[in-house]
Amino acid sequence: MVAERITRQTVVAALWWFGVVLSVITLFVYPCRHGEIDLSLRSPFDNTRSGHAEQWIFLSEAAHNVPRGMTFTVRAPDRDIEMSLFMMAVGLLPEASPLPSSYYGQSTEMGDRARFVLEFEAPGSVQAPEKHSAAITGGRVTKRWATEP
Amino acid sequence: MTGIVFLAAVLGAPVVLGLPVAAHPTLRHLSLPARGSLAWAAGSLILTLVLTSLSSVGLKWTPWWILLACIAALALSSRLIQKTGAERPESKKPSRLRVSFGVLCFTLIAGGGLWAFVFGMATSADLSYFWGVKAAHFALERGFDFELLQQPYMIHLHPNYPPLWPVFLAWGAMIARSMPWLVVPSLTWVNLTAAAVVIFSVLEARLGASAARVVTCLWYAVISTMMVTSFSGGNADGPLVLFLSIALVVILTEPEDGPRHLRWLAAVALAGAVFTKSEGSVAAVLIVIGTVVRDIVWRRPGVVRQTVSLVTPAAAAAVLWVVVRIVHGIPLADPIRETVFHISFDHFGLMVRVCLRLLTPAVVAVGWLVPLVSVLIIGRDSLPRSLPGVVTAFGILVFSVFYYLHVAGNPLELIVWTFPRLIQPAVSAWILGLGVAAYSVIGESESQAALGQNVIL
Repeated sequence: MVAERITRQTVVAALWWFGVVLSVITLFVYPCRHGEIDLSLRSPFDNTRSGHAEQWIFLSEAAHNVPRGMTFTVRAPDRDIEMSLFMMAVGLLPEASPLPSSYYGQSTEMGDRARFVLEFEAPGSVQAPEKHSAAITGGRVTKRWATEP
Repeated sequence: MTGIVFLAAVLGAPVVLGLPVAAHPTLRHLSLPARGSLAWAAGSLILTLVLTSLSSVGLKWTPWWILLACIAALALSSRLIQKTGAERPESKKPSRLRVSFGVLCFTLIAGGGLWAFVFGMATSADLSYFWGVKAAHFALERGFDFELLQQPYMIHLHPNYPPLWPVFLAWGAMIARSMPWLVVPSLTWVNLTAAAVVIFSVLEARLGASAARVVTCLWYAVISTMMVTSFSGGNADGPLVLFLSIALVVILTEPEDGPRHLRWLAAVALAGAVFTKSEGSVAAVLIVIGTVVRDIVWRRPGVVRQTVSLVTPAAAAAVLWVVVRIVHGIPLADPIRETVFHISFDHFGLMVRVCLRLLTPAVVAVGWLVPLVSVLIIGRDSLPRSLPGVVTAFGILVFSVFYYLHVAGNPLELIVWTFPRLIQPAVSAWILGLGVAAYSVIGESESQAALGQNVIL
């Protein structure tokens, strides 16, 4: 009885430790699956390879160009990315007022009233900026001259 | 500097508020790190309850109001938990830290998790979509930004979600004067490590050091890896797993025929889970059902009274959040999700196939299979003890499928996105439930005496 108990105990303990070792290996291997790891700490998403890091860096640079209390909207070539940017922008520019150009894929007219337009992956963003535009990493921030509604 | 101030605020203040918990006589047999972790968890709940209550009556989070409310909360919590059984449970002293394979594994898991969360390998998009967004606005407003939550184009903030995590982050951001987004994902690691420390200490006192080491290490390794692979850094999954694991490990290690000294702690932890995520309420109900069934199987007296005391704090937390939403015009249901009970079986086959596939990646399979095989080896003697964990694990899986039946269109994207995170509490409950059950049968003889069982030799 004692021998049987010790055998069962050993088998179960070995099984659990095997599980621990396998999980630890996965924990270290999984984050390295894409090869090189970016240690620059530029965004919370640097190594997720989800596209969020680029959106984050664009918005955090754009935030320096939008004064407190001003309205802004975000634009992107893709509606899903535009929604993602809008959701992020609400948190990254908490002192400004966000107005969506589209919301869950549906166009809205609210974005047209915004004083600042944050264009992600805007065509020509690497060229010389217009007089009232600022080129930033990943896009452009444009200030509209029209008065606030 | 902002990050350091933020961490000091979110780690320091809750520990002070949770001191009555750490100092409670029924917890003196636990290690100092475990009591510190419990103080932090309980203090986080107290702090967020205080801040939510201040906002709900229209008071800003100013230093004086916070100080007054916290002193009152400290006095109240001390008084409430002093009424609980003050007897110390019979158990061994915590062992000294020795260099062992378990310590090496624990260190590797902690290091690997911290590395992944700090360097942005596992950050949740939901942190930047709504959890952290609400926190940034609450910190600026020095209270709930009800106007923001009522906006028609802010439904992506999920205004109905329980408030613990955004309020907790808002507290830190308010003290640090801005939101340190890069630091927040590391809090998931803090939650998991705190849970692991508590699990180890509770199991050590009940099952012995070797059983505690192996169960804790598997739990910590599997759940950390799942959190990393499902990108849960910085979202509310960390605190949810912390609260649920504390409640479960306390309930699972209760003696079969002795007093239930730590029920009050499980009750507080369930309140924390309910106040953290909607899934927390589902898991809390399942834990209570599993506990009631186990107690009936064990023919324990006073099941109804004990169940009422287990449920009361969680119910109070749920009622508080419902009242706040009604009073301030926040929707009771999620405006983004489909209407409750409007279900469709059109995609049932696809749903089951995708869910099954997501249950079988290596680390998830390890989390299911290792405890299951152990119990098969040990035999059925251990099953009643595992019921709170097993009922919770299966219940969460059933709930997940029921939840996906509400999706009107193709649920594929939603399942792939949410299922790996929904099953974290299920796998956690499964490992703890079957782990405690298996080791209570094959473990050291004195641990069986502590659990109130007959030693089988």
